[in-house]
Amino acid sequence: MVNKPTTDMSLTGNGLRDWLVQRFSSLIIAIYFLVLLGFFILHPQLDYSTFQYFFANTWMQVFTLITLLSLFLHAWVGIWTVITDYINPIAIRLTIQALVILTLLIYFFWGVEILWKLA
Amino acid sequence: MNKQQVRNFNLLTIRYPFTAIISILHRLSGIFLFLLIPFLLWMLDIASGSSIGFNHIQTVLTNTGAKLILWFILVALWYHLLAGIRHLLMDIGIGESLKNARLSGGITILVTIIAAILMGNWLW
Repeated sequence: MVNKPTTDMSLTGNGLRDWLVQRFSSLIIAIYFLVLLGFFILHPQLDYSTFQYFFANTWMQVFTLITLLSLFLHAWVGIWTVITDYINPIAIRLTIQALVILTLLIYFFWGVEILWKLA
Repeated sequence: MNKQQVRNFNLLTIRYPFTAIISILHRLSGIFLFLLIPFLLWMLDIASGSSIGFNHIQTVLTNTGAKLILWFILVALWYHLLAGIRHLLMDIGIGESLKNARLSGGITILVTIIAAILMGNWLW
């Protein structure tokens, strides 16, 4: 007997929407990673003031905030997909997923706090 | 309802052709990155506070162990990014045949190895 595919604790409760969020967020994170990597590679003798100035820029603040949000959404969908495939007992699966969401929330607010310090 | 559908997600009994290895590495690199985000946030947290914190992180990153962790994160990120691009291309209908999926899988591995060497060269 094959049950209806579960959407318990999925990000949007809808596979197509989750899929779309996953793709859009991936593009944002990818571009952010390349921008950051490029910045560090182009500044081999990086000092604090250059580092702080780079992140204090309004565009970089907005870009970082959007990326933090994207990371939250992207990892929610990604980890949910993996957990749903391999962990069958519903209580264990939902407990792990709840812990994952909590962890991602902490990552997000930790990231926001760092961003504030650099503003 | 289709009761004949066969689904087997038991990792110990399923077979692993090349494209499955590409896929499972995409998942493993994703989980690895999720677990190591605190390392990156911790470094940024200390470095963002003051020039003293910033210099401290620069000193931390002269340590081989710290470099190795950062290198693993960067390699996982490159792999996850490249395998992700491969996925996006398939989403829009490029490279969906088995032959092309094997080819793009090979390219993903090859470019990751090149990126791993370049990242290592950059860090050391």
